Amino acid sequence: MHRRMRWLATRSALVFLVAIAISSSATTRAGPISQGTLIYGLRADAATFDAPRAQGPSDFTPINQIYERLVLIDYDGSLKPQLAESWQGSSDLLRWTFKLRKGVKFHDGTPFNAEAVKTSYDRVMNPETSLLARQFQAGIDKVEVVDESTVVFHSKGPNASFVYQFVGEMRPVIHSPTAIQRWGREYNAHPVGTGPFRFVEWRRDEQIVLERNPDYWGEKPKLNRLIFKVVPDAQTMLIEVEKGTVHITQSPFFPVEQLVQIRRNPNLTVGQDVQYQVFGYWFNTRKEPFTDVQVRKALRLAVDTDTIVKTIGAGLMERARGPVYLKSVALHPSLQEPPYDVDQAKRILASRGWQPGPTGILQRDGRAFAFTILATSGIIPKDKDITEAVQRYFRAIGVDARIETLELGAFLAQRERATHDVTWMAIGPRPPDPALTALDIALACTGNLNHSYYCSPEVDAILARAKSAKDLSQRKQFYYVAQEKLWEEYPGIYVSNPYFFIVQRKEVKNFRPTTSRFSNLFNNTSLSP
Amino acid sequence: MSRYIATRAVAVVPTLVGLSLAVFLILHLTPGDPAFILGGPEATADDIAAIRHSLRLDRPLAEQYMSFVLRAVVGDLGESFRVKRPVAEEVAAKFPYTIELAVAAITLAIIIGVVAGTISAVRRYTILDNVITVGAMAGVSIPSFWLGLLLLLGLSLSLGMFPASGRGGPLWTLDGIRHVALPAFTLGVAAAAAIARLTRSSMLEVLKHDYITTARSKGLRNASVIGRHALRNALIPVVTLVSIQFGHLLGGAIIVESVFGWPGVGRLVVTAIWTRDYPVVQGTVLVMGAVFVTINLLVDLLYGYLDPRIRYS
Repeated sequence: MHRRMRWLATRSALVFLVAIAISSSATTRAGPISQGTLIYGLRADAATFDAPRAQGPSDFTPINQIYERLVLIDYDGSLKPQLAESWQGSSDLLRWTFKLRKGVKFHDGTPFNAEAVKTSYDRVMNPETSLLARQFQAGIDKVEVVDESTVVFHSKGPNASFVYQFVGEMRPVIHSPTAIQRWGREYNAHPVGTGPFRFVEWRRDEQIVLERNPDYWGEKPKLNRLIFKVVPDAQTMLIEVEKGTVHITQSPFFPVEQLVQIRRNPNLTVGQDVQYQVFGYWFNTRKEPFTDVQVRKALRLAVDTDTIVKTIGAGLMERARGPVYLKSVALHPSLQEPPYDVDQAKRILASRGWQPGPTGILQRDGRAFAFTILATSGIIPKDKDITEAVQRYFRAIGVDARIETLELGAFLAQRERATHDVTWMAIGPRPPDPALTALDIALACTGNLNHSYYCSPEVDAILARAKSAKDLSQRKQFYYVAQEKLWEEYPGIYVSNPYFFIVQRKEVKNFRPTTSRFSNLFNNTSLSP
Repeated sequence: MSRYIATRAVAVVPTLVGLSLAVFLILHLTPGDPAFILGGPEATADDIAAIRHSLRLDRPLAEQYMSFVLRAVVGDLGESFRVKRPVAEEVAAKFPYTIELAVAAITLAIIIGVVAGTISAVRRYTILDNVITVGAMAGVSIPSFWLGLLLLLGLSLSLGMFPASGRGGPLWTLDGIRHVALPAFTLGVAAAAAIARLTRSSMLEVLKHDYITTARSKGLRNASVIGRHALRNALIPVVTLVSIQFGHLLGGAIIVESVFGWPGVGRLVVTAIWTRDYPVVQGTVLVMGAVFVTINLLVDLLYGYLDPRIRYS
């Protein structure tokens, strides 16, 4: 009896293992050659499909397949019509007239027209809706419907880059007014747009399923289905891509060692590009001793950003060249970051009265040169390591910098109090228009990311002239002048422009991320066996 | 007995009130403001103030806590700051998956632990006993994220036997079993090790008793002596350990769910902590606490059933 039971148990176990092996090999094969179903790996689940409430890449990547905007940013950073056919600014740059595409329908059959545009924008601009995207529409005064296919946006002031407010993740998409009315608060799980893919299913924390929109107004997508699979762990994600159960994924946060291994896999390709993002540290120019530009210069010269990027950030980032993103048209063509020069840094500090004390820390009037770097971590690749490296560079010239690392929410709240000495900073990713770069948001007196509190009426006047200049080459000249003025001001230490990585299987064809890395469009993407 | 149950059930209330207060205070008194996370880095002071007002975060702490407790009493755990859905719905949607994973893990742990512990006790001081003891030590010591990664590389990527992440079908289907196998093993291995060690020591204790000698002298087969007489008595302390381990598994699921992309409350609570989604953290911890306390209560009752000598007063 016992022998028979044992035999039965052994046989059952064997059958179970064989069944697992057979079913697993079937699944593994099904991955790469799926019938027009592309599986995109997301690191987190979407929080919402109500685009103006969306915040992170996991929201925007699927959202950008379902919805469209009036204007799209092209691969070269230029503006391209999407739901608008054309646009024209008035001579005073206060009225912007958009001619809309005709014959377009939302996924629920509702016709796309000027009223739908006005409804979508009015909803975002209404303070009662408390939609996150509202803060990016501050330049729009009102939206006016002229006729079925013409809409006029009124700007609050002359603004040559007004149309750039329409592109980028947090800028309003056009929703079906019927769907918004029908679903009310539930709309965030029932998105209806005009995009190349339409919403099918959302299994929270598992996957989002979209299908081809057969009535799409533009070039019809080649894929039948687009699945966004949620895989939170970066290493597990790369294993999924290697197995072929995820076709493509992207992130700035893959482990470097694993990326090296992935590059050796003939079935995979790894692409990388610089983000429209500058990472570094701001001095609080309102506080002593950072009110003194020479002290700021000395601290800047004491940090070897080149070595930091080549060692800590190897393969993950490029060295920054000032506060403007490396790919911006506004980047000054010849200005270079100052070379690492400890001796000069020490000389400058000595000339400002800072002398070595008994512990090696510089002192002046009996006070040690000590301050705190307010930081967060895990937001930019290797940011914690870089902050610690900067601390060591400061120490080498006799400056005692302590690091106060807080989680993001606490960090932002603390930074808002404006009591910091030096703070971690990351500007972007943002659309590549010069007016939306660090110059306006982080270095103008009223810039909402100006946590150095640097303020120069002269620089502000130049930036205002750049904003109201219609011709791009003329605008660029103003931005160059602004950068030249800022070059000797040292409001911060600009360290790097981080990369983002795209890991994809060889069978994925014609996938090309847009300049804004979350707005990838899959219209031309296909899978080959 | 019924009085004992009633007393224990009433004792659950202050435990949960204490838990809710502790979680509330920890969340609200540590630095960090959800309005800044929700507002994004470019939100103005007015935007932040408006968000705080809309989330009622500008109300006094005592008022916020009382509001949370009074709503929780009627099953309303509030609304998620982040996804704007009722927390009760979010937890109800995810909790079954965590329970599913924890049940699979504890089942594996019991099977592996009891079998290994029994063999180890019966084959005391043999090579097999040493191997199991060392294995149990390793099982308790290995960090779950590391073990999970090793299993993924070996059994999922190299051998292709199991999927790397996700839940798949229901647990009773082959697809469901394949998806749950690696996370359940990763989660359950420490519990299996602890169960094996306790089973071994408990078995060794029981095997010394006179009734075992009597059973053997009556000519009962060894398997019958071990299985029917020794093991049943040796398992009484193991049952208590299993209940404690089950509670730990619910907590341990937080890491394992992230490694294996399992859509349970562990991931829900991690995301909520990162985004300072107070209602979700409070609601999830409260529900997990309630489950933990209920399991402990049930185990106490089961303990009495397994050992009739125990009398409740």
